Amino acid sequence: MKKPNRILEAVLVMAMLIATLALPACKAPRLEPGGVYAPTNELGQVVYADTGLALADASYQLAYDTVSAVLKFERDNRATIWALSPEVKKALDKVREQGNALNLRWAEARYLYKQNPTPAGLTALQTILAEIQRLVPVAQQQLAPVTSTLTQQP
Amino acid sequence: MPPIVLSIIALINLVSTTGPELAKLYQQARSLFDMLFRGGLITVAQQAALKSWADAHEAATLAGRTPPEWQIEPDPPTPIGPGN
Repeated sequence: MKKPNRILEAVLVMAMLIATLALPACKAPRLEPGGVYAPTNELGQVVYADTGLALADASYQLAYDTVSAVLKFERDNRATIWALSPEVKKALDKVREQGNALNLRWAEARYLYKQNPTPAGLTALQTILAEIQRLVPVAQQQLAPVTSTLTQQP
Repeated sequence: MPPIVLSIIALINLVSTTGPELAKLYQQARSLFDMLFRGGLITVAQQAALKSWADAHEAATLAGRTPPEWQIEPDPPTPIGPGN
């Protein structure tokens, strides 16, 4: 009965990590020349290096996948969780609604940024990223009482 | 079905479904942490995998495709019992 608690703790720790990650405070990573975010010309010179988009994509992927893992867990175990607490699905449906709206904004902003990569476009992406990062702990908090109830039953 | 049976099923599902997901998320979190705080090198292969995911996710979203776990589905029927 201890393993689920450790899993939950690990997920919550990751949520805290994600929530505390702030792009402006970061050390700039290096992009290996020749990659899709740092293409090179025929002389092997880097044409441009879009570190901002690489970081935004990596951060967005992590936040999105973390929320997805919570939503998938609830969906895969819906009958059990609903029997324990119908409020979990209701709360996660709100996360779904907000997340889908955010996701569409992210896709539109990223599409526009790729057409015209400006600092303002990157800022728009980072703003949406911050919003989905705020959804991560909200989503994960919904499962905490459920897993706690499950692990405390005799 | 007795609640304990439901609990056991749920726990088995929790470990089996969250375990692999967690491992993947852990790797992603660690990779991102390295990128952000250690000034790590994002290799050509990592860049390709990341952009491939982001491009595919962007295209799917713009096309209106939503994964099942993100869709709002009808509530399950509430069991009838004491207090309901």
